[in-house]
Amino acid sequence: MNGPGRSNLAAVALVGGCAALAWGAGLALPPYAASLLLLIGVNALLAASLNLVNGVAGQFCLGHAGFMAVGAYTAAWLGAGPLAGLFAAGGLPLQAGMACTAGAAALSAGAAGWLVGLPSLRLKGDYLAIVTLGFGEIIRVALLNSDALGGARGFIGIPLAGGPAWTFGLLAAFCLFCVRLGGTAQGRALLAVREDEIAAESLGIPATRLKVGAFTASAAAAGVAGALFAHQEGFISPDSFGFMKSMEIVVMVVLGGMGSLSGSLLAAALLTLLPEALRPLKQLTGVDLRMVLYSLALILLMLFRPGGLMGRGELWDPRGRRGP
Amino acid sequence: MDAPILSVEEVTLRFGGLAALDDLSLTMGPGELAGVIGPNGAGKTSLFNVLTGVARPQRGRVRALDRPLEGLRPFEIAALGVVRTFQNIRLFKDLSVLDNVRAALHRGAPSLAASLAARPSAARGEKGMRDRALELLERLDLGARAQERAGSLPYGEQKRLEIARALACGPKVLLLDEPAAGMNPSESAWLRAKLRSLRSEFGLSVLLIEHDMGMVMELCERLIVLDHGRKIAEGAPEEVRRDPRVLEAYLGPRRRAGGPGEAR
Ligand SMILES: Nc1ncnc2c1ncn2[C@@H]1O[C@H](COP(=O)(O)OP(=O)(O)O)[C@@H](O)[C@H]1O
Ligand SMILES: [Mg+2]
Repeated sequence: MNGPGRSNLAAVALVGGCAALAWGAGLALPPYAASLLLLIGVNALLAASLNLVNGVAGQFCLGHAGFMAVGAYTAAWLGAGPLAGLFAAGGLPLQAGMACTAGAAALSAGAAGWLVGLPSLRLKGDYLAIVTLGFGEIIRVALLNSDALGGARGFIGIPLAGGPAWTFGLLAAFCLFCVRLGGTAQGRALLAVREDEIAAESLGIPATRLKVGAFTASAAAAGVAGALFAHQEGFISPDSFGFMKSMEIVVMVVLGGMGSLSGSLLAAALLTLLPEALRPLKQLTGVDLRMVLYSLALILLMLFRPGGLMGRGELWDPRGRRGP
Repeated sequence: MDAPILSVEEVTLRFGGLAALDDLSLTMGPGELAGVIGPNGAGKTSLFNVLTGVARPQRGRVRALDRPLEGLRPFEIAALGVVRTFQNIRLFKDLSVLDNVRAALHRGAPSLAASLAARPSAARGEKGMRDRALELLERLDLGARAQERAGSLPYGEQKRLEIARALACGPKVLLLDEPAAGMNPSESAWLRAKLRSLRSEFGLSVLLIEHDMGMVMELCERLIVLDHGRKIAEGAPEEVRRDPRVLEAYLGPRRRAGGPGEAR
């Protein structure tokens, strides 16, 4: 192999570039554009984390928005309740509060991921898709009916915090984790499980443990994305985390190329910007064309580039870019 | 014979009404090279599936290396030292040849934390795995292929890669499921010589499923003949070859034409 050094550098450059861009943008851009960039960061984190499960480990999760919701509501509840003092104080305490809520979001969503993954990943086959589909709906319905968390009206008054440094910093950290994972024995073993689980197990690879580990890490990262989102918007509601959101993340990963980290990041940016670019069209026609476009994009992709934009390759490593 | 390294006692494995293994018992001594033969659908691959924990028998006991295997998952059985190859090749096709072998070295790998933190011990461990994998590829004449995609190798080389990968697991008992199938005569001759030398070098006990009778007769010290999931004959190759029940099983009237889809 041409050394993990090269891909490490590439990942740092890629994400560092993003961060610098976002930072500059935060200062110079109008608020609308700046918030759009933060949304790209959140979606990129969601797509990158789902890629770890759907692309690298070869499992299929259809409820990623559920883990995002767990993280978002954990952060919202802590930020507006027990930790409100920290956020109100501003300055360093506010940053400490942000670190706490993001950390708690990772823990709670990670724990949810572990609980969902353990029983469903023991089995071979598509159980995970079904179970996570159900999980996403259960979370949404539970939130709708929970008065303490605002129910259908949503959760208001989440302290505004985070910003480009947090969003792109955490995104960079997760991307670095994914890139480095590729160079470890555990990362290779995950790929082996994706390729052929029975063969992997027969060669001494504990497939269930690895899949559950990857799934838990992925859910935790989705939870962090939820926390970032909550602190960016100041308001969340169960509708933000429905099946549509889960599908949106799946489409990002498929469009980018399952297994390609840079593909997921690119597709996340693309699919965040596209609906915004089409906003005038929506105003003109009065119809939300987003879902039509997603479906169309998927169909075109299946026809012309079934491996996704990047296949299994990376911007910095073209091997596998032809797709599987 | 010494205390058996592998023993199967009264094992029955059923798929619906069909008994793939029917009250089967057999043992294998340490260092032995035994062959399992029988017509298609006789239950040979099913025997390997039971031995490696891929299939769970309804009845009977399986022991290896002085331990019962009941309830162990396949990766735990592999860790004990019972490792197999697959009849219908199961390589990690989209991974490189090198990574196929490295994946099988997983048990000795540095911890994830150490690798992510780039500790020197992890770097040493990685280097060790890489060297070991390349050495094993060299032993099976695949050294030049290390960086190629496993799925792109010609058939014979894929079969060899499966053996290299199994050896990486550190087996004490090696189960080979039709390793010479699809090989041309020169490849097959090479494989015979190779199996002999690997066996003594690695101190292996080998259970070999093979249809190539020349290979089986030449290599195996003992043959076990299966038909309809039952053991119909056992003994030295020359004896077994003349056994009327064996001839009947292979050549008997109105044999099923080939086996149905070979499982796994
Ligand atoms: N997973 C399975 N499901 C159903 N039937 C199976 C399965 N595995 C094996 N069999 C059946 O068990 C019998 C023995 O198969 P197998 O062990 O593959 O035979 P061999 O390897 O000797 O050719 C065959 O009739 C086969 O169809
Ligand atoms: Mg077979």
